[in-house]
Amino acid sequence: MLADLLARFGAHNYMPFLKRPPARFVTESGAEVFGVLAEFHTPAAVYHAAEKVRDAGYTRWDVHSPFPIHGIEDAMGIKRTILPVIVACGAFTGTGLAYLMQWWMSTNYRLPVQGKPPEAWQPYIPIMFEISVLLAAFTALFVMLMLNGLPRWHHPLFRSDRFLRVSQDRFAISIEAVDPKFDPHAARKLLETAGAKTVELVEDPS
Amino acid sequence: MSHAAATTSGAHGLHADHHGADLSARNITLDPAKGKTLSLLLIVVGLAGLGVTIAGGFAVGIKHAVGAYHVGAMSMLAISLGALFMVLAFHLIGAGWSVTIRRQFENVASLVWLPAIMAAGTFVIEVATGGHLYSWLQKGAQSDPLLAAKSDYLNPVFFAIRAVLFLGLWVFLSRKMFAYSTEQDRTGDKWLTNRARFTASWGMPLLALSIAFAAFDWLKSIDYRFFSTMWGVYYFAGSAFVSTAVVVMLLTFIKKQGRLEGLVNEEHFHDLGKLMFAFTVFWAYIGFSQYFLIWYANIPEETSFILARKHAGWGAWTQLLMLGHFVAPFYILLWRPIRRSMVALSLLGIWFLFMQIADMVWIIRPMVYSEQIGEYLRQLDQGVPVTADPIRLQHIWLDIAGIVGAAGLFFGLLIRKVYSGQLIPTRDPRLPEALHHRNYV
Repeated sequence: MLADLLARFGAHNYMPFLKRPPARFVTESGAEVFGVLAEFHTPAAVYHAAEKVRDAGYTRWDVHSPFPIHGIEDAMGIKRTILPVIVACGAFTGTGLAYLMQWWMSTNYRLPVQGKPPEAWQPYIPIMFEISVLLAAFTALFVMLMLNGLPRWHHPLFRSDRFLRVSQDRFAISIEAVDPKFDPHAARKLLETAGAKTVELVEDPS
Repeated sequence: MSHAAATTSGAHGLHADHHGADLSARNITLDPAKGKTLSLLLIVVGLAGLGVTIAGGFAVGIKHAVGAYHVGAMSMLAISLGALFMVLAFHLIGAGWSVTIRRQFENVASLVWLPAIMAAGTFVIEVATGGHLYSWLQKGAQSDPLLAAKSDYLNPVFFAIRAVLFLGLWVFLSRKMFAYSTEQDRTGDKWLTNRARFTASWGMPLLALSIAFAAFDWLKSIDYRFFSTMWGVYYFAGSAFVSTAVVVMLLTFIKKQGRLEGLVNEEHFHDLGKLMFAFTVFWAYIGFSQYFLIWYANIPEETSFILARKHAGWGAWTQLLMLGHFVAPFYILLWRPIRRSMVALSLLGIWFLFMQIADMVWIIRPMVYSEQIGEYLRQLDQGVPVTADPIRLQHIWLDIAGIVGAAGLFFGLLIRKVYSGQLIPTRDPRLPEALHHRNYV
């Protein structure tokens, strides 16, 4: 159950001790198929191709570009992230934990300071505020990394020589084999009709 | 068309027609004739409120009337000073997104003379009548060693000099910023933006100091025994909070009449909502810090301020401020769809305006009957039946009249101002940035 959930997030990619889910597609040589990679030469071409991939209903795919493309998140149909809600949960957990911690400390080890009553709520507030901020910041950073599948040592896309040029002067779309709609032939056809200059299969032979 | 002209118009790779944004007179001006009726109505209501306040001064007592009048004046002053701060801040940081909403901040700021003169007028009344509210003006008050120690700062002559300096600075800054902006509308001189930024660079620190010291003089000195170095920031936090709310209401009022189509949209309201959220939190942060230090140090001169607002019916008022000025707006403004809805933000804006007035009432009003609060606390302490009535709820009409008086005049003149000119600075070099503004989070 948990293994399935972790696999869905691709956790095995950066936690090698986790079991890899079985491959859906393999090549003739037996290597696992990571997905297909399509190359484009202009931002406009990749923008319009992204719209077509979005409309075809794919969910596990990405656009690669050497620079930010204005409006690409709409062309890709990216939804707003769930991160703020998780950060809020982290913050409120911090508020509650800080309160419990101080309540536990001041009832178990009474320390009269300046004659203030031990049950005074006033000194709790700064600590509750600080721990809320701390847990919110930690949640924001680490959940953001987790949602992005980071950190990881390597990515199968780096095996493609063409992919290396997307940090210079090329644009690319990759559709992953873990996408439920994925089929190597259909994906290739879609990307070719969307105007890709080349489409190649990327293997993940680990 | 020369080559130089072509490059100037496309300096940011944007077209001169601002991507079809409607800058026609129909979209960026209101009909001045329509505004006259509304503004006249508000001014008449305001004058009536002031008249009732003066009548109340004779009927109930000058102390109560001056307190009510001062609450109104200081609330309206907070709105103007907050708007002036925003205008200076926008210029200082070179904000592009706010160009289409800046004129409304300038309009609100340019009226600073009215509440400033009204609030300074309280001092004139107080000197003439022998210090009902400012108890340090009373005869024989100088025999109190607590006041004698402060008399180098807190004396009528220096107080009056400071009041003139504050007034001069605020009127100069607000008129200057308004003039830069409207002159740019006429001439299109882009360098006016740089001059405005230069003025803001020296204006901002002076504005910060003047707001702090005006708050010391016009609010804190009502109880001259009290100390709080946080006081100036506390008043500033409230003023930034309420001025954003007023501008949101103003923009919604304009948008509801079919103006500013495509110029001010939910992206701008989203950012104004963020500012409202930020200053709600900032106010609570400063308010709590002030209370926390007083609680820890436990010095009688300071705790008496808190004690008066913890008992005698003011305890509920304090809780109202904690809930209504911070907790409720915090949880409401946490939701993105609310920050993006101008109707929801405007409803909150009305609430914010009430909370700012409630904050001023919380500061000023317990001082009006401070002896009765002392008597109330003494009776409570000794366990005898409590007979002192420090609140005088039967005269609440007088408090309302004082607030309506100041608010009616202020908003009456504000409506007139809004109707009389352009609703956005049309030739600001950063206008395209505001038209393309978008929030990604």
